[in-house]
Amino acid sequence: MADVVLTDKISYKRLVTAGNDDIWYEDIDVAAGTMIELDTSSGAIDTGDQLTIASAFQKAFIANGANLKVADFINIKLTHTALGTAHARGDILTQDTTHKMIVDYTNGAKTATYGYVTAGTWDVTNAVTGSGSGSGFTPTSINGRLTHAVLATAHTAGDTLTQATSGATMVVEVTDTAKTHTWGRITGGTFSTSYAVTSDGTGTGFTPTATNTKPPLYYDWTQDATTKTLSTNMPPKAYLVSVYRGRLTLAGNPQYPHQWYMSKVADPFNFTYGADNPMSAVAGNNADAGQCPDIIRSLISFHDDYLIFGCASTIWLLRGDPVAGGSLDNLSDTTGMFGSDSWCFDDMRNLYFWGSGGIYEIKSDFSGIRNLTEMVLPDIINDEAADPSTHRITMGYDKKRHGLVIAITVSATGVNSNYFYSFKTQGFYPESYPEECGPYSLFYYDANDTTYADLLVGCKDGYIRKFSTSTKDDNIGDTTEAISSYVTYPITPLSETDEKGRLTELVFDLAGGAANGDFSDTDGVSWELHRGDDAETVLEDIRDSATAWSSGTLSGTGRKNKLRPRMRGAYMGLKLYNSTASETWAINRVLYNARKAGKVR
Amino acid sequence: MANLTGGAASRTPLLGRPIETLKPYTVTTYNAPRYGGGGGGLSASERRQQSYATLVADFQKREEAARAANIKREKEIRGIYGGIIGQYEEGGAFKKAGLADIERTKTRAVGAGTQQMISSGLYGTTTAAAIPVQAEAQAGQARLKLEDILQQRTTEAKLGLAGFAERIETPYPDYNMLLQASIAQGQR
Repeated sequence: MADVVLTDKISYKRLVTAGNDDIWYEDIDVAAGTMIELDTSSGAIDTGDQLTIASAFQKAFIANGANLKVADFINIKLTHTALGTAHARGDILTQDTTHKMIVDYTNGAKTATYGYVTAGTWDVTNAVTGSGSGSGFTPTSINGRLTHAVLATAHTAGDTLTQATSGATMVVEVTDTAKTHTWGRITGGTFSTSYAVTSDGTGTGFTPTATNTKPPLYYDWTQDATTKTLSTNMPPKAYLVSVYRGRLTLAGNPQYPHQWYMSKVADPFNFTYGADNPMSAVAGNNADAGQCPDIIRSLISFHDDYLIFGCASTIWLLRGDPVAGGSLDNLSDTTGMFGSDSWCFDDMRNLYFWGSGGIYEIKSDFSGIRNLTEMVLPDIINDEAADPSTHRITMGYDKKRHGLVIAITVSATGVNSNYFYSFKTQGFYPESYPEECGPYSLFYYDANDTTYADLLVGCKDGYIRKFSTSTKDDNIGDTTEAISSYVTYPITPLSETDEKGRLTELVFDLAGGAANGDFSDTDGVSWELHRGDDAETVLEDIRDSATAWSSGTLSGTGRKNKLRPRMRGAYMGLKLYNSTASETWAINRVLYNARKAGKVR
Repeated sequence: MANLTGGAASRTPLLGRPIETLKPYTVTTYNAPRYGGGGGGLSASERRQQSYATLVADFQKREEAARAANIKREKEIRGIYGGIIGQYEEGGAFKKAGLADIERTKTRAVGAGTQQMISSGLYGTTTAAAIPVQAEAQAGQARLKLEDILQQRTTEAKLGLAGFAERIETPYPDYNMLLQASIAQGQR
């Protein structure tokens, strides 16, 4: 009896990002965490404009206005002369009897067929036939990618590469910015890593270090050629994309901002509406019968359970499938959502979003919408004065630090004003980052390699950053920037109502235990004491950086020597802070003593 | 059923011989005339001659009456069949009523579907817009089914009419019976 050989089938996650008008993806064939450019020579995106990405069917679907694109990580692309009849989705293509491929998509011009290879290595020599009514063809090229050392001169689109000995040829589409990958259409032979490649252009010759005949593909997201004759119902522009119940959902068409569009189930290239079929594509808007619909600003899908439409001043909830027994209900008539990324879920399925009156929470059972900032930051909307045309608000759940990050960034400059909402204290902590680090996007990446599993921050300068507990400064590219941090203790009365008190003792207990022990030691921290006859004046002095009544700097760990300020007043204010580069600080507690000191006059 | 009597007083009637044909024709039983003996002023052959003529005339008369009644009945039955067939044919009452019922059902289906869409909040979607299309598709199936029923019933009615027509026989006079009646009369 023959031995049974089992081969593990592992699924990999790849991070896909958009930055500097390009698409980048994590090339795990090289190493986890390594991002390389995708060949977007067929049509770049505009990251200066609003852009959203959704992943489905092992592809990334990009909605960037008129740039509706697909980054495809599963199919290969066969280029051929225009077919009389395109192959339908699901047809089986056969080449040389043993090469098999399942058709996924044919472009509108019927000059490219995309499909998943199930057997064999496809070539440009043998004829291809289909199991359906599509026309037979012989591929003229198959997309591929060559990896090499850094080139002195990149190859230009249209150059023809030829490899010695193997005779393989490729028409170049692009060499990436790093000049370490050349993408193109293989028109003959099989490339090898053993022989030199030369070009008929000015690009530098090389010997490939790796060849890839199934590289990720990038192409226009359009209606499939086999459905185009029925109707072409994809919106010409869209800025919002999401996946819900196997349907790719688009919205944010500037011409029809209240409209949403859903593809056929499990067919992102079919937007033919109205077919008498529960799986057919569907479009609609969110309003009661006879009422005007609202402008859609965000699409929030939660698994296959529900889809929330965050509109300008309303919120709608779609349960189930809109073609098969689903329902659309209004969640709020008075609160809208700011933008496409101004929301996030926590690990309990509760939804948080930046709404018309602050930061809101929607419980997972939809039992109510609660304004988290109503009491503690009642004027946050006016204070931040964020405008969708100039600002980007993104939210992300940090499961490592048990809280939410809410980032408000000026799109043009990267100037930012952010909050960390702690689930432990249920309080908001304002923070800001260097302009270079202005968050444009927040995403929790649950990577295969746990080293990279974290809340990622897509920054204005194009870098992807994450929060680190081991570094003491902010990374701003080639250099670092000191972190300025402070805490203002609650304004404290020094005596009873309408009486003054005298602060006689002040003791600080800094974190770290004994110096150089097992616990992390705090760096130094500065302090300021303010006083006043009313609490608001004291707080105002602190905020205005008025001259403190007394100040000092503490260093070392543990309990510090007792201070005897002898400060007299009705209220005291204490501020602790550190703005020194490469320093962090923590404090365990502050103790004080005071005694009566007469009436407030 | 007519009994044939006549001539002089009869003494012994012949046994009645029913003249039968397949329905719907009437059955006539002829009884031979009674013949009496002696007197009357006519010779025997003259009496026989007179008796034959009367028999033939009476036979003819009754034959024609039965024939007329049968023809009348045939026309009546054909008319009934014609009426039945007309109900199921184009423009007939049955088809009109059937189509009207289908339209009412379609209207109700569109209405119910639209109300369902409104209740579920999906009135503003292409799904709602497709309801009349779906209703029309179902109505189309119902119309086909109606046509099928009409065809079946029309065919059944026509088959019945054809069977009726097939069973009609040309009412030839039964001269054999007449001859035997005459012979029997002559023997007296």
